[in-house]
Amino acid sequence: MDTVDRIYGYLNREGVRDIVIVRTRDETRQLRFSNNRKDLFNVWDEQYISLFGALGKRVGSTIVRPHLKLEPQLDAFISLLRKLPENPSFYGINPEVQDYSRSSAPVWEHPDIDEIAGRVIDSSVEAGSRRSTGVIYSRKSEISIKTEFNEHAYIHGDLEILVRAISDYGTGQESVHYGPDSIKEVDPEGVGREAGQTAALRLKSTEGRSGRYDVLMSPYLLGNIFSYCSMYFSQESVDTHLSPFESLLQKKIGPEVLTLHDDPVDLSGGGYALFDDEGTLTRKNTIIEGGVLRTFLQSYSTARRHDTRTTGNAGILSPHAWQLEIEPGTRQFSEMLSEMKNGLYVLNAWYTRFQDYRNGTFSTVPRDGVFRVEDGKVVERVAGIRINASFAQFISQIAEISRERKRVKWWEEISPSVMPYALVRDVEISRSF
Amino acid sequence: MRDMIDRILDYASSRSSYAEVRFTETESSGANIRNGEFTGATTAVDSGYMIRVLNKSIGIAYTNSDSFDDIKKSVDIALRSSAREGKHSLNTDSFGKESWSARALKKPSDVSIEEKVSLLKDIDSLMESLGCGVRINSLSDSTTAEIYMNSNGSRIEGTYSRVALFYMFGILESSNFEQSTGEYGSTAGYEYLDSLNLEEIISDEAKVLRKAISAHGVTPGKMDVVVGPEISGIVAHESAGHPMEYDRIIGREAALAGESFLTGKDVPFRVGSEVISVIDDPTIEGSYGHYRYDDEGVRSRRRYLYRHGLTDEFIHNRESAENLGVKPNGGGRSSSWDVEPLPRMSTTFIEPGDYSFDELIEDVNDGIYIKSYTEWNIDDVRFNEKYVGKEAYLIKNGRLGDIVRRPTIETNTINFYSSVDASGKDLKFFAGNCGKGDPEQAVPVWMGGPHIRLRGLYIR
Repeated sequence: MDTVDRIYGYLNREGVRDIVIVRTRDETRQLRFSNNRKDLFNVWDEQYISLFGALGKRVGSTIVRPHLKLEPQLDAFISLLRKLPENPSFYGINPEVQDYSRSSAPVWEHPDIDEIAGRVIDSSVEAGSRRSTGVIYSRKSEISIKTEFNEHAYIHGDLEILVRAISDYGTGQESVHYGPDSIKEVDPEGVGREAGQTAALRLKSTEGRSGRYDVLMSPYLLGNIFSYCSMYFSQESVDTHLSPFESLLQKKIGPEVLTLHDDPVDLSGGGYALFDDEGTLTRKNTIIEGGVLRTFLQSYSTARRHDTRTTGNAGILSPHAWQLEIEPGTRQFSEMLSEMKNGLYVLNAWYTRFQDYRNGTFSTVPRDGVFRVEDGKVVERVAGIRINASFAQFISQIAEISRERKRVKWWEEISPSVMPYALVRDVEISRSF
Repeated sequence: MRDMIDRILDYASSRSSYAEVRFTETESSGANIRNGEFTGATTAVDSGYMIRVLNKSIGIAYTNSDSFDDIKKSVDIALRSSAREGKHSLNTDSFGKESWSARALKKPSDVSIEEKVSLLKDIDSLMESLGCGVRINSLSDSTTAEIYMNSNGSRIEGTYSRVALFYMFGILESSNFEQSTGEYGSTAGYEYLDSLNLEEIISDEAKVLRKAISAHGVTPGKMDVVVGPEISGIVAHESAGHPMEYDRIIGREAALAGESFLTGKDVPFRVGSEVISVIDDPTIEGSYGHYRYDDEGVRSRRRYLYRHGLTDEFIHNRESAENLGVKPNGGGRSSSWDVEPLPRMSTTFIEPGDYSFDELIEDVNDGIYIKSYTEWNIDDVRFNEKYVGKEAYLIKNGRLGDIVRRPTIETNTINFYSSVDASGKDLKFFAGNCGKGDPEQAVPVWMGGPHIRLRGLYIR
């Protein structure tokens, strides 16, 4: 009998319910480079069996090591469950049988990431970068799930290309992700070239000034802010009183131009997932439609608490977004830039931190392309500034959204997402003294 | 398992100019409570091998398989890549054969889940009784055993336990919200948490939030500032520790956590006043970042990062040390078995001076005392930084005055350290988890310092 079936059978006999067994075999490869040369090649071969289960409303999770005797590990887990207090907000896992018949992903073949890195570096340098630094990932994971009600498996594969270009004038960065449906579009030269061109822009650099500015935000900056703030759309955050949108379901929270989806079934991005952590088929969910908040992200359990249906976003206890996408607007990026009289064009940011989790009050530090725009032209680089905002207010200040979008994903700062350029009005900018 | 390590090392070293094998096993557990509701518990035993090989470049294989054939396959992939051109500077010294363990009186395995749940419930109840409408509490512990061997004869074995408590609570009044986060961690057993007076700490913090939520902000301007150990600690970490990690200086982290304002500078470089010395010290027993040998089998030791306002010694792992042509100084850390060792901090703190708190305050006519912080961030070269005060009071004629809400320091590293004219004789540490690398690695650290006084800093 298969190990997973043995685990399931043993736990079931002992009275454990809401069992979820996820087996993962991760075969990932990564190449890191800096100063135009390879630093390190990493290869992972990891196998895990993770286990979730409940005795009534007593819930817990553990990792099972398949090469060791199973019974003592499972007995220890059952013993743990028996000693736990109940979680009154737990309502079980999704009992609906899922139809996975149309849910599959193609086999992932690792590309030669050494070769990709070389092409990225060469094109970045050719475009004007003096030093190129970055990371190439090819991730491949066999993921299977077994619950009392459902069983399915697929192979997840994605490619990520990150390059930061540094010249004597400044820096530029591109960081994109590809899933199986877009792997043929991989363009290492294009990614390297764009980062190199941003770095090579020969503009004087000046210290920024505090004030309120219209800011043209690139897909990276938008991706950063939405990645950090996606927690505000989780029902768990709402229930903990840590969302500014707590009482705003079906209310207008943003401009008409803003439509935000969570789309885990878009296999052109690396953030796709065919089922969630309790086996529910994932689907595209519209979180904000024309500025109106349409749904919070739900697991079966959070949905039961609120008399609604799961959205396929488990985290069993804490639902989360998979792959955010903002719908394209009608404007062209070049038009948005050329119409800007006096403002800022910011490509990326990092270190987003909150002084008020409830209201989403944060600041973030722009980097890798921060420009002042005057009469439609990028006129100088700007250093030393910070963006200060509250997420709910920030959303309402979005005025225009571009037709162009990018698949952005950067390190731990930007989750895989598809983002446009956006013009955001009246953004508070501060600077160091 | 020891036989397996020998076998893997034999195999890898016979096909490379240098090889090392690290086996790590970590047993961990955690429990959480949110707004009075116990959400669940987790346990895990995680273990695996890291095999690093050096040829024309460096390759690392990570595997948790127990089959030598499977392990060999992963090593072969790393070997094939290492045969291609790339950087290949790596210190390959042996640091002997040693074993070490950190002291834990009340080991995680000796503490029942009931006791852990009880601790969490007590804290949650206390917070609720103090009127905190938002409460998140997490408890975690781990016990790690690690064996490191390299092809030059090194064999280092270490075992240690860590315990940690994290909380976030907040007070909501109308649409106003004030929050406080706390993190307490130690390389020790549960005796560490027993030693904390959490009731007093949390009660005091809740009272401060209650006052701060309706307090006024500060009138922006230049003023003298006294900051508490929590702020001197985060400043030491962010703007002394990070910029002195040598991999950042040579650009290896540039695409991720960034570089350093010291990149390209001649050293020693003046970063601040004579009063300022910053130390990173992994040897402090019980500290959250304590270890006697790092994750590359190098003996740890105290390092002055800044000494009397000048840069002093960088933090190195084997790779960055070789790049500079120096010996590694025990800064190579990995957050788990399946990530590479990078130059990392341990316990980073501003060295105390000889002023009492009263002496620091009494010489300020018109200023502010910022005891603790909430939001903070810093740019990717560790220069332009921001700290938003959580508990802060005006200072008038040498005495503490009214509480003020969220005063903000937004300055740069040189300006901050150059403004320091006096340093307290107190020293206090705070726990945190420091992120770096890709995949991101959060390693446990302490940050600390004394109260320090700064002259003429802009506050808004």
